[in-house]
Amino acid sequence: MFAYHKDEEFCSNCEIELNSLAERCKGMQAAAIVSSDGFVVSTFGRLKDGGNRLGSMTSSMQALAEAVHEELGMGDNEYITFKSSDGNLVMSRVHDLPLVITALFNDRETVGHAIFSVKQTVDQICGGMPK
Amino acid sequence: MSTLKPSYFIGFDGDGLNARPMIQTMLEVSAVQITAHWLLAIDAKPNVIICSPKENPQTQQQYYPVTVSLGDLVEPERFALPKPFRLMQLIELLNGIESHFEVEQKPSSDPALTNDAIITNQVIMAQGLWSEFADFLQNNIVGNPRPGFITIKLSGEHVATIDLAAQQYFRVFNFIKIVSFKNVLECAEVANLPPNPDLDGTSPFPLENLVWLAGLVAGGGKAAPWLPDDKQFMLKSWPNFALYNHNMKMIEMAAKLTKSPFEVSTLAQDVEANESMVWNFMNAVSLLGLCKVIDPSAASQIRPQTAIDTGNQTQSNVSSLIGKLKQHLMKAG
Amino acid sequence: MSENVILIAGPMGAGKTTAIRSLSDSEVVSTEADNTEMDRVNKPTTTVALDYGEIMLGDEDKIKLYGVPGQRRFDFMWRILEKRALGLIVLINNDAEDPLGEVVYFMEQFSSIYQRGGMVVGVTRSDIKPEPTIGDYVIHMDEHGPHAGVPTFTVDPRSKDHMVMMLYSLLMNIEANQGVQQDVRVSQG
Repeated sequence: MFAYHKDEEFCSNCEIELNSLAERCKGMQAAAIVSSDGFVVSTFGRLKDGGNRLGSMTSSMQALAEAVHEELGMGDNEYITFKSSDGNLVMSRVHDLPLVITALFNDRETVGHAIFSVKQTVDQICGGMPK
Repeated sequence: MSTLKPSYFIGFDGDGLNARPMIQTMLEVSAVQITAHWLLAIDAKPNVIICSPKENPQTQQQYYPVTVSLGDLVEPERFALPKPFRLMQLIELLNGIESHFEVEQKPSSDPALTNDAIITNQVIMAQGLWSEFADFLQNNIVGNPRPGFITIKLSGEHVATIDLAAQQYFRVFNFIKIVSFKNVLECAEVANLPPNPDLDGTSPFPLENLVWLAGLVAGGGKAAPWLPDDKQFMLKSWPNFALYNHNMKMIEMAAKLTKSPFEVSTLAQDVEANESMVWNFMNAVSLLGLCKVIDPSAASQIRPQTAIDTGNQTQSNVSSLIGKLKQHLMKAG
Repeated sequence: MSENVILIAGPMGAGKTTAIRSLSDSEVVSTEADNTEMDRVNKPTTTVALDYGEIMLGDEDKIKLYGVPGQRRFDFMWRILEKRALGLIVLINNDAEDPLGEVVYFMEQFSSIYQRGGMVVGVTRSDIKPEPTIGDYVIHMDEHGPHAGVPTFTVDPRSKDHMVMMLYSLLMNIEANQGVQQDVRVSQG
């Protein structure tokens, strides 16, 4: 299995995409792209311990969500959202790549715009290829 | 899956010792492809010695000369192992040496030198004296690896073979049933493997499994000769039940005996088993060295070996859960 | 219906997911992801959240089996599941770099369960690497926890018999500990 988090060029491309996401969504506080087994590829914003903990949690959440989808026969998971009083967290698999993106938005960003922007970033990472 | 194979030992001389770690790893990964059972010699006399490396003056290739010896026959630098090591070359070398040994071992008309030759005392035990067999195992076999085999015959039928070098044994499928009867038991130590279609191709068991079985039958439902019948007992640690024939009562006994000392009669009542089953269990665990014998006068002074706090489950919950799990397992067969 | 949660923990590659599959009456829910650390542990996938299986005990009760991820970076899952656990099965692969260190590590990480006698240890892959022996594990654990008395076995996680034996031993050990503590409380008045 290719270890994206060890590919410097790929990591820096992801960093560019996260910065671009932050430009489109002024309410984005932090974000990370992680491998599906929990290793950090790239981050944006201030994250504790370089985002390692968030990376692991993101991969766990994505895997649990997919397990629930499968249990209920819901088809493929498109994204996960967490709603809190301070804002939203959006997680999404990066199409067929073994990667997950997670992004934290404050309440200046509507959840709809956050989800749309994250999906755009996913498409950009995959070079614009459809799912 | 290991099958019955002859065993040979590999030793190292001089700088040949540098090859030891690599050879050990290669033996582990290539066991299936090698036709004999090769072990690194610790106390046993080696059949093959890997010597200090040399260089071929014509090709400048480095190699380890290999000396082979079988009995009194010694052939210095008869084979060679090229550097750097390749797995297939080691496999070919060892299989080649084994073929060489087979050629050298010419059959003899002297019955003392045939494959069935008995090379140590034959132990013949009368009916029911499994405790002697247990002694025999403990004093001669367990922890004493060496080339050769022990054949075990029950009433004349060859039912098991101990591979002394590998410290494991092979048995016929109904061995456990046979062991529980009172049979005439014969054990003979032999240099070479006698053919037995009922044993060939079977998987080996660790030798402590045989010790356990011997212990289970040694006392015939009473204290074995080495255990006093007027003391209390505790376990130093749990028996490794995955290796031994066991039942749920034995697990229950182990759980209790690792915490506090018990008399056999009290333990039998607690776990709702016959005293004979409890004695058989105590005989087996004592033979494995897991048993502490405690004088009743000292028993009350022993602090129970237990954990610190009870967690968040009440006792009745766990007992009820155990009962339901037992029922479930019995239904499942 | 009472909740009876048994955790299965241990380093990556010890056989936790396999063990739950052996024990579970129902299809196991797995959360596997591709393993990008094949150079460290040679398996294609790894558990990233939990494995879940069940043993149904009649109509009313079940034993819930949770397999936790082995890597340290997922230890937040350990803390979440530990709070609900009745007992813990720790599987250690004997061909790990430091198997004795691993067993002590898990004793410490799950100290709340271990200290109340709710832990058993299964040593896997001892057919590939026979040492350390069970005796070595017992001695090592006793040095790190007084009166540890942790039931320790060499097991094959593919074997249902082995896994059932471990589970039964775990529950009997918990019950025996509780019984002794009850006696101590009674004698102390």
